[in-house]
Parts: sequence; structure tokens; C-alpha cells
Amino acid sequence: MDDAKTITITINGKQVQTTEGRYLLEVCRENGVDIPTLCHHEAVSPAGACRLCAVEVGDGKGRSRIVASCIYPCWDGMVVETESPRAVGVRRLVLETLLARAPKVPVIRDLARRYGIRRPRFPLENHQCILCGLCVRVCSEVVGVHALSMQGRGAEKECGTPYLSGESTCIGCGACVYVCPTECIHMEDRDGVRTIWHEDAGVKTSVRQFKLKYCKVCGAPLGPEYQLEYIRKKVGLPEDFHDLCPGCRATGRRVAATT
Amino acid sequence: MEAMNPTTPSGCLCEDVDPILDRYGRDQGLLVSILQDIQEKYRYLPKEALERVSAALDVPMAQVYAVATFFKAFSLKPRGRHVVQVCMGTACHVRGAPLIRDKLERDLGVKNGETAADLSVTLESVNCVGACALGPVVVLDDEVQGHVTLTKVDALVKKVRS
Repeated sequence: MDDAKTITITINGKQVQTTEGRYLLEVCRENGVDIPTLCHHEAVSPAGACRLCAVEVGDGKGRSRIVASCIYPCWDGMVVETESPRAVGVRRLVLETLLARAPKVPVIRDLARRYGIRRPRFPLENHQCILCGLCVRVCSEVVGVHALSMQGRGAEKECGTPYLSGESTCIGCGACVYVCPTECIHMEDRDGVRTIWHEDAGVKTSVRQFKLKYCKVCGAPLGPEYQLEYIRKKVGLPEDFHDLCPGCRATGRRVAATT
Repeated sequence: MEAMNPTTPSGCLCEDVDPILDRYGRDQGLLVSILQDIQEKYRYLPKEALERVSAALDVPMAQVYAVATFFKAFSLKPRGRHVVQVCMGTACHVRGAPLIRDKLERDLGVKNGETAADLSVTLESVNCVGACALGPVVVLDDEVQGHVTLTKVDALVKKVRS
């Protein structure tokens, strides 16, 4: 970018050079300032869903406000306080509500303990999913399959495949399982079948089974058939490409070259 | 999971949705308008219709579904030929809307938020229709009925039954 302006911002009293418009969270982390997050992942666009990355941003003249740093673009001369009483207070409140919603999730318990929250003053629920939408973003932005979405709204908001059914465009890649911060999406490979499901408050939804494919020569697991087919079509690979694992394919090439 | 979406009483075929799609030039940006027209035609959004919309507009099914579930005006379950909405806003509430709702539930034989098995009527509560001076208010098929009393409910039920 040619028109990107270099600016100076102050983070916790330290002057830092950066580019105008970059998101504050990134800049803070690059400069060794730790801000807790749950819904953030560098591979996908930020959403500002969990609100844990709240920091105080001022103009240096006494005016300041709380912003979600993951979706807040930097501007010249801004003064950022990540550990001010006000910022920490907001983060504590956010954690208190998250802990009330999902009291059994380890990552939330750890964060709550770090912020000195023992017991939320709100009634305890039994969720695992915190509706951060990270799985939805990974599925559409990284994988490009668009199998997941947030559905409904308000208190009835849910996360899953359309109609929460196993019938969807899902290819069984497990990217959502990998990124889910609260580990409420589960994956199990057993007897040649991969099962993926979303589990919240004891209810399993979007349950789907995938047949796994194995190397024809050595029998090494390759992945779910749907996923391999998706990759094959996207990259334009030959139809028998996924019959062999990478090792056996290389061996086959060597054998073919020597004979 | 599948039972959630019974086959459509009107026998929705994918092709039935096409004239609606064409009317909006198959523009992705007009998804909500398209869904509104489909809802008007079938009184709800059949799964087959949503799948057709998704394919025709090249919008992922998950996104169409997200929009369809976000707005309360859309229903994914079949709705009755008549729709009775009881206002539960503050003004109507203090003027006895819960009594009206209870009587409607009894007389129509339908629980609040549900549709009769024969698809004759849907009863639902809404949170304000903006006619507080007329409270308690019942909206029968988009027609606002003001100052509803328990005796007036009898007339409304008769209208639904006829």
C-alpha cells in the first residue's frame, strides 16, 4: 500500500510506530502487550464478538473510551491503556458473564481466575458454546465451504449447520474443531468413520459422519473422502491422486523413474 | 431433525420460487425481499424454497438460513391460514392482554406460539404493534382490533372459524 501512513501511538506509556488503520490488538501483541481474547484468530477476520480484548483508548487530552481492540483501527496520537482500572473492570465484567454462561469451560475458568473472579453474580448456565462465531468464520473464510452459521438471535441464538442437521455442505475437515476456543465442537475418528458434532448444554447438534479414506498401499489414514474430493477439485488434481499417501506416491515415482 | 420440517401443505416445488427470484433479478442483495415474497406465498419458508434461493443467488445455504432465522417475521414452520397476534406490550399487558391470550388459547385450542394441526390458525404474542391507545390489541390477519374484550374475542374466534 502506497498511501499507508506511518503513525505513532502510545501503548501503556511506550511510544510505538505503526501503520494507520491497522487493528489495535495486532499492534499491541506485536509489541509484547498481552491482551486476552477468545474469538480472535489471525487466520480470519476479526469480529469483536467476545469483547475480552477491551482496552481504554484516549486522545491524550483526558478523554477516553473503551473499545474492542481486535476491531479498532489505529489512529495517530492515540493513547492506549490496556491495564487501566477501567479496561480491566470491563474485561472482568465480560469474564463474569462468560463464566456464568459456561462455568465448566477450562479456558474461561483459567481466565476468570487470572482476573480474580470466583463466582459470577449472575445465575449459572451450562453452556459450552459462547457464540463467538470463530467456527463460522473459519468455515467460510479459510475452508470456503460455508457449512456453518449463527442462527436465530438474542437469547435463542445458536451456532451450527442449517436446521442443525447433518445434511450440509460440510466436508469434515475439522477446522472448526481446531479453532473453537471452548472446545464445544467434537471430532472422533473410529473404524474408518469420522464423526463431528457440536455440543452445547448437553445437546448434540449438527451431527455428521464421514467415511475416511486410507492409502491403498500402506493403509495410512488420508482424511475424509469429502474433504479429499474438495481439495482435489479445487486444486485440479488427477482423479486417483488421493489413492496413495504422500510417502507411497513418492516411492511410486522413484520406482517409475528407475525402471 | 428432519421432522422439524414437514413436507409443505402447498406442495412447494423449487420451480415455484423461480418467478419470485426473477422478479428481483436474482440479486443477492435482495435476499430479504425474496424471502418475504416466498413467505407471503407459502405463509412460511419451506426448506426446499430456501435451498432453491441459495442455489439461484449463489448464497451459501448457511447464510440464507441465518437470515431466515434472524428475522422474527419469517417462519420456518408452516403457519395457519389465519394468524392471530395478541399484543403483550406494556400498555396492552396492564389492560388485560394475558386474559385475552388465555381465552384465545382456550377457544382456538392452540397454545401461544403454535399452529393448529389442521393449519387453520396460528396464535402468537407480539411485543407492541404501536397502537397502545387502542389496548388491549389483537391483530387478526394484519387487521388491528382495538379495545378487545373477552366478549369481542368470541366474535374474533367466530371469524377465524368461518
